[in-house]
Formats: sequence, C-alpha cells, structure tokens
Amino acid sequence: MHELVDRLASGVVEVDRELEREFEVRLVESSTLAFRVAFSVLRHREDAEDVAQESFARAFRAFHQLRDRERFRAWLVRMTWRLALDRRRGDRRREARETAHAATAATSAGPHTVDSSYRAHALWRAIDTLPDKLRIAIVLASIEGHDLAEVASLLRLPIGTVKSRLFLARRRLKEQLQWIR
Amino acid sequence: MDPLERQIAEAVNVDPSPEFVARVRARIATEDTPAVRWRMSPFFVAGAAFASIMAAVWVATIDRAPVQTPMVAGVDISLPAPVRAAAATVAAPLVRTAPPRTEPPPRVIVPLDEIRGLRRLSDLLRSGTVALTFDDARSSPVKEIAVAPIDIAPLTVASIAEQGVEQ
Repeated sequence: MHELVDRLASGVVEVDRELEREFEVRLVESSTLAFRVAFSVLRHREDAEDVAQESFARAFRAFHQLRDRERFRAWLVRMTWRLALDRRRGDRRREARETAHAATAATSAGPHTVDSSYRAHALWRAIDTLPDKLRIAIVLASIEGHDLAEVASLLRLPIGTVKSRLFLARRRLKEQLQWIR
Repeated sequence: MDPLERQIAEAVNVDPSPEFVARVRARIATEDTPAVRWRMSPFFVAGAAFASIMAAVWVATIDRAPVQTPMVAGVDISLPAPVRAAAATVAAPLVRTAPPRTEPPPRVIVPLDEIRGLRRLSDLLRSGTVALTFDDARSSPVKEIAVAPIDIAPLTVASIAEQGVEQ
C-alpha cells in the first residue's frame, strides 16, 4: 500500500516538473508576442508588460489544457488582446494624460520629431478605429516573422479569411491616412 | 514592403524590457503548479471522493469478518415458559411503542463455563428435576441483629519446673 502511494506521489511530482519545463519553453518563445499584442492596444510599455504577465499567469493555471504549442499561442494572443482591451476601457484617464503629453512633446520638439510623432499618433488613431477583427489581424501580420499562415494559426481562421481581413484593414487605413502622405 | 505596412511594423515591433521574462517567472513562482490546479479541479475532487467512499466500504467489509474467540461465544438464552410469558407481558407495551428494528438484537457475550451452567440449569428446569421456588421467609429483611456472646477460656501455662531443667 505504502509502495503504491509512493509511486503515485513520485509520478505526480514528475508530471509537475514536466509541465513547468514545457511552460518555460512557451514563455521564452511567446513573451515578445504577448507583449507586442498588449502594446498594440495600450501603447504603454509598463501597462503592456503587466497585461502580458497576467496573461501568462492565467495560461499557467490552465496549462494542462494548453500543452500544444499552436493552441497555447492562439490562446495567449486572444487572452492578452481581451485583457488589454479591458485595461484600456478601464483606464480612460491615462489616455487623456497621454494625449496631453503627446501634444506638449509635439510643440517642444523640432520639425522632424514633430512630424514622426504626429504620424505615429495618427497611425495608431487610425488603427484604433478599425473593427476588432481587422485590427488584430493587421497587428499580428505586422509583427516580425509572422506570415499569413502564422496569423491564421494564431486567429484559428482559414488563410483566405485572414487575407481578406488584411486587405480590408489596409484599404481602410490608407483611406484614413492619405492626407498625411 | 508598402510604406504603410513598414510604418505599422515599426509601431508594433517594440520589445519588452529585459526584465520582463524574469518578472513573469517570479509571478508564476507564486502560483500553484499546473498539476496541482488540475488535481483541484471539480472532476478530480469528485473522483477522489468516490475513491474515498469505496475505500471506506472496503475497510468496513474487512472489519465485519468473523473473529475467532476460543473462550467466549454468543448464546441465545432460552428461558422457561413462565418466565418467558412474564417477560412478554412486561415488554409488550415497549414492543408496541418501539420503532421497528432493522438490525438483529445485540448478542450477549457470556463465558463458556457460565453457558454450560445455564444450559444445565435450563435442562433441569425443563425436565422437572429441579423446580425454582422463592423462599419469602429467607428473602425477608432481618429485623434484629443478634450476636451470640463469645466465651474465651483462660490460658493455662505450665510452671518452669514442669518444662524441664536448664542444661
């Protein structure tokens, strides 16, 4: 009886260690992805890190269901996106402060800085106006090393659907930003 | 690459701080391990409860196995007919008001020699060899305690001359 209990206990400990090792691999390969997804919504480094960290904590809790790499990354992107949107909705005051800060920086900087800062601000505002489906598609497709197949895998959508969403997103952005060019 | 796509890529491809992964590791360290969380899931708890119940039933079955006791045994004492009738009369109201019993009545543990004696007595009563009678006179309380006087005879000691001569 004691031998059986010992074997069960050692088996459970071994499963724990294996899960932790696998999670470490996922953390290293997906940390930048989670951060960039959060940053694309929040545009604030510390907030984006907080949100990505919370996503990883939740992923860790549910890791026994997310051991598959593709499934894990898709789940992480969705969770980070949602958490970032929630954070942004709940923090409107910060947005107001950032807008004021950007205006101050624009007036105190040189002509080239004003131009690039203004362009970046306009770009983000244009991205923010996109519907969620188009927005996440364009953000994921713009992340380094992501091709159509990778975006389709992360969004769990067919490649054709991703392609059409990217086309629509780019067309809308160009329409909105043509006055800057 | 389209200028717009390049501009979006520049805006999106921001790297986290070098401490980010370490911070996540520190956060994870405060969490239970995934397997612990799995073990605390409702399905696991239900399974563990079921296993506990099965184990308890198994242990209870083992405890009910008969135990060999060489010196004592359970007996049903059969009483003479008059005693049984009297007991039935006395117990009748209790039997009527008592709730129905699902378990057999508890058995009386009696040493073997007493069992033999009771059986022998029962046989004698049945055969009529022995009759139980109650002596009211002997069982009546004592009214006066009478103690007979004690007579002590004086000691007689022989003289030294009669006991012998010192050598």
